[in-house]
Amino acid sequence: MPTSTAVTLALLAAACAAERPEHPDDARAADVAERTMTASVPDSLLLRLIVPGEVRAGRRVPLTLTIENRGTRPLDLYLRGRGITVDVEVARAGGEVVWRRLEGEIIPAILHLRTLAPGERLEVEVEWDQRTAGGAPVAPGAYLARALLLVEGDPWATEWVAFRIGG
Amino acid sequence: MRFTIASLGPVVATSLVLGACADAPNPVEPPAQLEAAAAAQGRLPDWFAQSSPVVLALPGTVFADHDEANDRLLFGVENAAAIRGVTTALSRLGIPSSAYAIEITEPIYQVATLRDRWRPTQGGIQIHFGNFLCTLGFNADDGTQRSFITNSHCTGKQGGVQSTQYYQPTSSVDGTVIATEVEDPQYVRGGACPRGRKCRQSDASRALYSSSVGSTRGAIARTSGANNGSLEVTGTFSVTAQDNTTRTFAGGTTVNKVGRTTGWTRGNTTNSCVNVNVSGTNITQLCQTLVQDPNGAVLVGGGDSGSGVFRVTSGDNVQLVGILWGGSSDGRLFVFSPLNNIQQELGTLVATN
Repeated sequence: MPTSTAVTLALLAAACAAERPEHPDDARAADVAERTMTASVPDSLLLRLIVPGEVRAGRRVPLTLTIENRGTRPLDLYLRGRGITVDVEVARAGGEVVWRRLEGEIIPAILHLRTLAPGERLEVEVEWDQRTAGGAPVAPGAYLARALLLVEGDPWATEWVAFRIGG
Repeated sequence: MRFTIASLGPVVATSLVLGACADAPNPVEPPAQLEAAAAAQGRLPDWFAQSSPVVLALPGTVFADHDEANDRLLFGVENAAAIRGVTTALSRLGIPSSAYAIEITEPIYQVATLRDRWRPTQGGIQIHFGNFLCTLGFNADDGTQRSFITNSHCTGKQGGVQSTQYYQPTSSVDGTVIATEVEDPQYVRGGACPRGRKCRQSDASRALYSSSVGSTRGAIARTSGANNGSLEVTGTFSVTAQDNTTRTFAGGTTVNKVGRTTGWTRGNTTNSCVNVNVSGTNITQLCQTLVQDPNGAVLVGGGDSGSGVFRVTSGDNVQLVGILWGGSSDGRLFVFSPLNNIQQELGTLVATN
């Protein structure tokens, strides 16, 4: 049964390092990360992508981005779009990106001012249908995902999160 | 009176050292030069008050300063040719050369950005409504109504008039309502519109200026260069023509825009008169034009919505061709509605100077 625990790449890497230190897939998330320009997230803001640890093949993969102000002061967010616009990248464990949520999409170029109170948390839920950008179903196996929050300037990215598509 | 080298600063200290070297018959009594220097120090505030307006009225001068740290007056000039005028003026005021210094410095320019307050208003600058920021596309007259054009989605609700009130640059900087939304046709179903979606040919709305707010028709703020990321306004584009007829632009047509987020950017049309679904909505914009930079430059960012799109015809003269409303998530592609489409929906607009 799939678990709904978010597993960060760091945790995965640590686990992999302990169990199979030289596996070629382990170090490739950094290669994926370098392909999209991102900006530093403010210190008081916690961005987290929650993905089930495992999803059965063919099922939609729920992806939840949480945006939380962990600081003691209100935080002004300058968000692109009239709402909250979130991109998601899914990559094979080897680094090849197989899906980008906003690929080919046209987004209004308006800027939305949203003040996040101390402790306030926003959630955005999206899904992935386990298909590549070309529409082909992906093979079962290990995948990585991260969310990108579109803001003024380069987007803010979450850590890569590992999950499996079961057979 | 007691004097020390440390407290007197370089001008007086130099005099003291020179005096000591020349002659020091009685170390208890202050030498004559020291007294003169001390007297000069005491007069610096008055000398500064007298000299500053005189010097700064001279060509090539940059600043005047009572440099307390060094007990002197300090004047900045743009080049060596300006020094003589300054020394002459100071001499006429009776200020000794030992009391001041002149240095050559870079001229200081007033820097204003696309996100600052502008009166009269012009195209390309930031506007604010509700919790949103957009760009004032271009000023235009609709009949006798002095107006500006921005996006339909830069109103309270995309499609339909909500009398949206606009501020510039923000309501917190200036609480004056600069304009109020008066025209924003509804999105409609049917015809060429895909099933389940609502369509228009332009993402454009019109706001009527408040009578107290000045605006310059035919002016779009210009920054220092295209695709360089600068937001500092260094001049003005002059809208000398407007393209009222083109709906399909030839591939590779170079167009520009100025917006509050990415400034002046430029790219080439890649697809024209294409129907575009707006991400996250059931809206389709009909017959739009796509623009990209051949070198992959970022051309659009959040807040650029509403930017006027234009062709440069010669120098700073431009021909208005449309209004930007969206782009790709990486900002390397933008979409605009042609001016022809805008006028089909908003009526005839006069945007030239």
